[in-house]
Amino acid sequence: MTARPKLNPTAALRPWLLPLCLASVGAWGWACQDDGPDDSSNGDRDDDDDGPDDADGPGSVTEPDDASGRDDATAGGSDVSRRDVLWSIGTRVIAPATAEFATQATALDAAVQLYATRGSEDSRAAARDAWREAARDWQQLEVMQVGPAASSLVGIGGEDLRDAIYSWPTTDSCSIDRVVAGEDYLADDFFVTELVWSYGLDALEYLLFNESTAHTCPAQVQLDGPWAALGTDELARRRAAYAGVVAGGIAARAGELAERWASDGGNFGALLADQGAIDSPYANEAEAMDEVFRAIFYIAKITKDAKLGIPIGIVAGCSAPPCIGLMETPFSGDAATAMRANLEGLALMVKGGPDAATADGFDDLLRQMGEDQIADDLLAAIDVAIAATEAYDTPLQAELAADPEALDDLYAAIKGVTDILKGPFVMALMLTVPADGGGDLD
Amino acid sequence: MDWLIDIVAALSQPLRAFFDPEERVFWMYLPGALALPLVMLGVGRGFAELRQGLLRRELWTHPSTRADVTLVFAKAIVAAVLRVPWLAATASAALAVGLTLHDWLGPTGPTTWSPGAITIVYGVVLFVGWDLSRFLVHFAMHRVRWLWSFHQVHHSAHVLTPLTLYRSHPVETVIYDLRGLVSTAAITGVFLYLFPGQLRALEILGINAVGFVFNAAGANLRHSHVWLRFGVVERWLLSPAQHQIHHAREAELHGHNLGVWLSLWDRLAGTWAPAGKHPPRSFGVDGANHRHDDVSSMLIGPLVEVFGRVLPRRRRAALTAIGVLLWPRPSVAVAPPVTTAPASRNAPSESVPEAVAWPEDGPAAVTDPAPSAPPTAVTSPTPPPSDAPAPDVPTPDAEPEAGEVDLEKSRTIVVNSMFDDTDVLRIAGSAHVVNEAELTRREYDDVHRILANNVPGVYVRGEDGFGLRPNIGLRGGNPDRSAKLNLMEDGILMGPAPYSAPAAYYFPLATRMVALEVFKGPASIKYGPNTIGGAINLRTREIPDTHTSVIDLAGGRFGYVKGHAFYGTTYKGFGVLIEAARVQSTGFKELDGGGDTGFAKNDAMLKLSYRTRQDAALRHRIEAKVGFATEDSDETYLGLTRDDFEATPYRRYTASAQDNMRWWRSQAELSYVLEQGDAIEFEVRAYRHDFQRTWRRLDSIRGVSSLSALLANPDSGQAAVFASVLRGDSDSLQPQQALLVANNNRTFVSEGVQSTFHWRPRRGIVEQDLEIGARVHHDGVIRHHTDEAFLMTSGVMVPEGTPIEDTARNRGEAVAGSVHIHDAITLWKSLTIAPGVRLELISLRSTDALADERTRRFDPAVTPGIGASVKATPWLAAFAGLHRGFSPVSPGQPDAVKAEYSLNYEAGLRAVHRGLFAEAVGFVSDYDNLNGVCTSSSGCIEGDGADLFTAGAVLVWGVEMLARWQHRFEGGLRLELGGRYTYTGSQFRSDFQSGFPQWGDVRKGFALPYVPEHLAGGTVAIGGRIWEVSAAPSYNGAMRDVAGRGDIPAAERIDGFFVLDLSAEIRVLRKFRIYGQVTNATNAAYITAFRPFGIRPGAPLTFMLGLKAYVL
Repeated sequence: MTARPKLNPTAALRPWLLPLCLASVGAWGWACQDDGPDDSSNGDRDDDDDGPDDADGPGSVTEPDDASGRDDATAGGSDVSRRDVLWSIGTRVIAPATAEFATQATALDAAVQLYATRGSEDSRAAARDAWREAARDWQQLEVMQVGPAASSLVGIGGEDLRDAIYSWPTTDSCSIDRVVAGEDYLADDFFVTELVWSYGLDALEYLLFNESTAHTCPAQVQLDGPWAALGTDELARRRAAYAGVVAGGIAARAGELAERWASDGGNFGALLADQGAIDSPYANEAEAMDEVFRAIFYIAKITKDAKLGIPIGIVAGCSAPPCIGLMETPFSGDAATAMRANLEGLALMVKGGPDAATADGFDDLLRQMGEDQIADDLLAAIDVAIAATEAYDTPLQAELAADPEALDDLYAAIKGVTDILKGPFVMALMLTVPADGGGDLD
Repeated sequence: MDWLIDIVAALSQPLRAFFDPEERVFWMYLPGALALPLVMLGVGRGFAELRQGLLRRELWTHPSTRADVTLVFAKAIVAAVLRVPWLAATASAALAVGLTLHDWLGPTGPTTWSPGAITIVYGVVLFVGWDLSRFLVHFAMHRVRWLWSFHQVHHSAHVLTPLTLYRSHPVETVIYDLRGLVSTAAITGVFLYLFPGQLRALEILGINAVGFVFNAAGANLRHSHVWLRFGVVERWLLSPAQHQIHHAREAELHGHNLGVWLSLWDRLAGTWAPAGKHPPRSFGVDGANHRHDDVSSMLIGPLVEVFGRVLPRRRRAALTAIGVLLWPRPSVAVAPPVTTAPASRNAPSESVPEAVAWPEDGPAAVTDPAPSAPPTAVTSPTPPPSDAPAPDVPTPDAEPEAGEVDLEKSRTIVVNSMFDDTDVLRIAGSAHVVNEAELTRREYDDVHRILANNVPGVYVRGEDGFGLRPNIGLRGGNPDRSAKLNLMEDGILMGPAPYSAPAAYYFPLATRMVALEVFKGPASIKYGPNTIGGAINLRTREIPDTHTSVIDLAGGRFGYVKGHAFYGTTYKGFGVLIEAARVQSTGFKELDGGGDTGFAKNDAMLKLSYRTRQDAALRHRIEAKVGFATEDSDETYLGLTRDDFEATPYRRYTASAQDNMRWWRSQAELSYVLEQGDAIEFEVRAYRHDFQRTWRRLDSIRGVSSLSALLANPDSGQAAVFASVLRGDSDSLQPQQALLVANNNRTFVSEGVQSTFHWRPRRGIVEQDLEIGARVHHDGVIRHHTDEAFLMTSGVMVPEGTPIEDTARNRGEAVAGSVHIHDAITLWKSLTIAPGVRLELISLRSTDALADERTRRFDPAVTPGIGASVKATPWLAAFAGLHRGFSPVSPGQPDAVKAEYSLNYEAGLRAVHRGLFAEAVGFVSDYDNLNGVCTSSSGCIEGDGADLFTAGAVLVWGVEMLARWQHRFEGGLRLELGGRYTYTGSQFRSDFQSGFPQWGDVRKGFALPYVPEHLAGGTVAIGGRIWEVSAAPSYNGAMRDVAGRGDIPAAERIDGFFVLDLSAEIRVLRKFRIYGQVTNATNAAYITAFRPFGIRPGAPLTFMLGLKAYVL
């Protein structure tokens, strides 16, 4: 029995294995590293070769297919690409619409400033008319919330410009009353510190159309004392002055939005069509198409459900139908007009522009695919729905108050549109229905 | 990088000594050392003397010299950290002395001395002053007890070389430096006062000319084996031989020749001794307070001794009692060192060092001490051989001496307990065990902390701060709900429904576990179905052999209370164990409007067993295990916006006030084990687990499809309004602003029978461990989810009054059969090859009542693998492995969705040497198709049951490194140092767009989200027989919230964070252990994730104090 452990005769050989193993591990690591982004050197989106006009390079976007003289060739739906549709929607629908609204907003601002200065009934009536004009134009833009106007929560590249112009259904008349009582609208940072329900077209509607001299806050807000101290004249003066501030804000935001879409400005229409452009927030054509679809899906989520479905109790949100207070434009009574404008805006988006001869729209895409029926059905359903909005003589609130089922037909007519959008339209064009939350797992 | 530069500079500092005239090893002094013997002894003898006494190879390769060198570098780093500006301090002090004298005595008149005379006088006085001060300090070093504790380090050198000069404890170095400061400043100050303006800087603080001469004249031979005597001159000048006498091993000689240059002081003090004809037989010191030639021991040992002696006993007791045990002291159980006779010291290490028998023994006397690892200095990382089926992890009951529990037991770092009789170097793959000792040390209840602080390659995504919903991933696997792992308890799948709904909503209380085992390599194919990520096995307590019971009570911050007790015994083969635990906390988050944010968990287990005689050739054991657990936690998915996190990191919005999770879980398991000798083992186990949970929690706002998106961008437009509603600042005025509270009710079952057969034949050079296993398993989940709407009204959630909506009514079911065969073949006890294969046959069914859909599918999967290890040297092994990874799909998926497959490779090195364990593993997981499961916890907004998203090919690679060193000093002091590091790289291999929110728009080359590139951590523990303090710092590198490449955008970046945990324990009486724990000791506020909804904070500083009583 020896004290020293017996050495294994092969032990001397084994150290050979170590450098071998080390080398293997090293080579392995090297190989893995090298397996990296060898063919996509910088990770920019330029390496995506499915975008159009790659050869033009980033930032250099052009009208599709040699803009000069190709319009006729595609009129009527032949040889329309998705990019053509995006281009047409951007430049022939949204850009002109934002420009038009900017003009209306400027007119509105002028009218309201006059009212703020004079405070007369005439000037208020003129301001109300200007509001109706601007609101109708804006309601068309509601279905065009793509890019800067879109919500930052759901829209790709969304900058919430829409909310600054019109935030319904996020409204709160009590907040407006508090601003009036405190003259907060005079503050330089009013638009920064206040939430969106204190300004925009919705707030302006309350300030211009609300005849009541009472405030709308619940008891716990404790506004009774300050409010009573105002007096009727001062209240009217402040509302008018506040309206002036709000109208100025709307005009400014409207101008900003129009500038973002103007061909000689931000030219967002080009970014929508050319996802390869360096400033485009869209990764590819499919994403841009989905974004446009998400915008027009407003008709389903807001026009159909929020404006009608919830108040009449078909859609969750109203615990004791009818919930008239949840309807849009409670003070101007223009709910039907607003819905009509939404549908008109939808029609424009589907057609790709006001002029069928030059526009490339979803309808053209569908026809090109041989899905004429879907295109025809959709446009017909939109027409039916528009007609349905014209069937009411009095504000919809009054209609619903008189008859809880009075708006069911209108709802059904709009549902006729959204059923096509959700079903055949989406399937044919391989679009993605926006998420509406709820029903998830954890 | 400054610290790196500092370290490099510090490490190069010792090398600069050769070029510094102030250092004795300055290159110009070396020729003098070589010349002096030649001059004094003649060329022939002088050369022979030099060859034997200074230039012999053995001297410079001796462990003693190696230790000297190591110590030099170690001290250089310490010096770099402390950065004491000695030179500047000396100059300032000298000036201060001069000015003080000037103030006291008034100005001196003009001197008539020439500058040269001043310089000479100053040089001589300084030389004498220095020599005297060095003598005095050295004298004190030998006479004052606590100074001798430090000075022993210098004397413990067995071999003397000029470098031995630098072998001194840092404390001694500082004392000598202070001495230099004081003496130089005093003398220089006086000269500055006497001869103002006439001393030049070079002369004041430069090289002392006299010292230069002495150094050049062979001072380097003082530490050498060149026996050079000065004859009668020794009465005035100390010779190298005289200093060597001072280093003699004989204790009585230590006290002689304490001077440096002049003999005068020694003669005055009566400590002078002339050099005799023969040098001392050996050098060193007996009964040192440290291990010779062990640098760490040199550094720690003196401190232990000093603080054990210097502090008055009463104060020590007080310090001990309050647990402030930063100052180590020797255990009462060990004989006090040094003051007793050296013979009484019985530590094996003392017999190890080989003194250099010089010169009579000849060169062979310098022996190689390498194989002399002291057996008790460290516990072997090799698991103890175990014949019994009992675990290798020590349990208090396994040890009659309850007082010895854990602390004295092996801090075994990495073993594969499935190979109990195999040494760690033979394991063919990655396997880690966190044993009971480690679990007890930290007393963590959060499994995240246990894993993240012990095992490399584990990624955890914190969610609630308590680890109630563990998100654990291995090697790049998605950590979401730990669904890509095999989670097991005692080898049985423990997920609610491991095949049909594996998300880990159930997790047992970690406090009642005795070990956590993690398998990552090919070994994971033994534990299906998920073989991609690997397996984590929690081991519960075994039934003890004798009466054993423990009561554990703890309390701490945030209403933390823990109660835990067990009792168990075995009588005539019948065993029983009953164990119960409860942990509760009021939570660290502050709910707006008040309310608890904590939890209470209960967990109870009963084990009954019968076993036949364990010494029989054929042994039977039957065991029944039942358990019941509940949880009631006010947990939420709702996090914070970034601004709110920065202002109040632990806030919880009032919109989560309703949130509450409740579950119960029952388990019943029956097992039978048959063993024949050591070679055959057969086991069959039947199990059934029922689990029911109801989670009521804020799910969304009606007008917001994604709360996650809202909290990421809460400041503009309507988002600001919704965020205001969440906070309770604004009322819900519109249906769109209603808060939807989900009530997700799920019932799970998991049941089956599994069996394994082991055959371990040994023939000649071949050892085998053949395992054949089979399992028939059924599990299912029934989901009933609803949404109820609430309106935020003045900061309170009131029901909207609208009908409660069904959001999901479905069920999923899986029946799975699996077979695996695995063989570990070991040749020559050093080469192990372990091939294996697993076959899974999975049949899935789903029914969706809302959509009125039914689906069926069948997924077969074959997952082969092979691992190999080579024990190349007794302390080093290399291993490599390859296996196919598989992760099944859940019921309801269309056929187009394929199961997840990958090829996983790993290769690594593992070293076990003395107290050191080190491992480095490289791994590559090459996914054919990576799947992401759409759940709310992953941030998904329309998961309808278990939507899978496919990412296609993905490559994940990385390196895991682990090192741990443990050492026990004489006197019972134990030191443990550990470090971990994991690097992980990942790449999607294709471009795609995904609805899975963590992926989004993916390009080839993007990295996976929630996989930090860098993970690092460490452990420092120091303790004696009855106490221990430890610190566990950890760093989690920056992570992405969404797949991407390059710099992480701020909105998607989860910054890296550092967390420091501390723990301490003391056994005040034999059966009572007091322990304390501080987690996040720096109280760092950090983000763990942006999921599920918004920013989730890590837990703030928490502390708890507990008492564990070993009653029986």
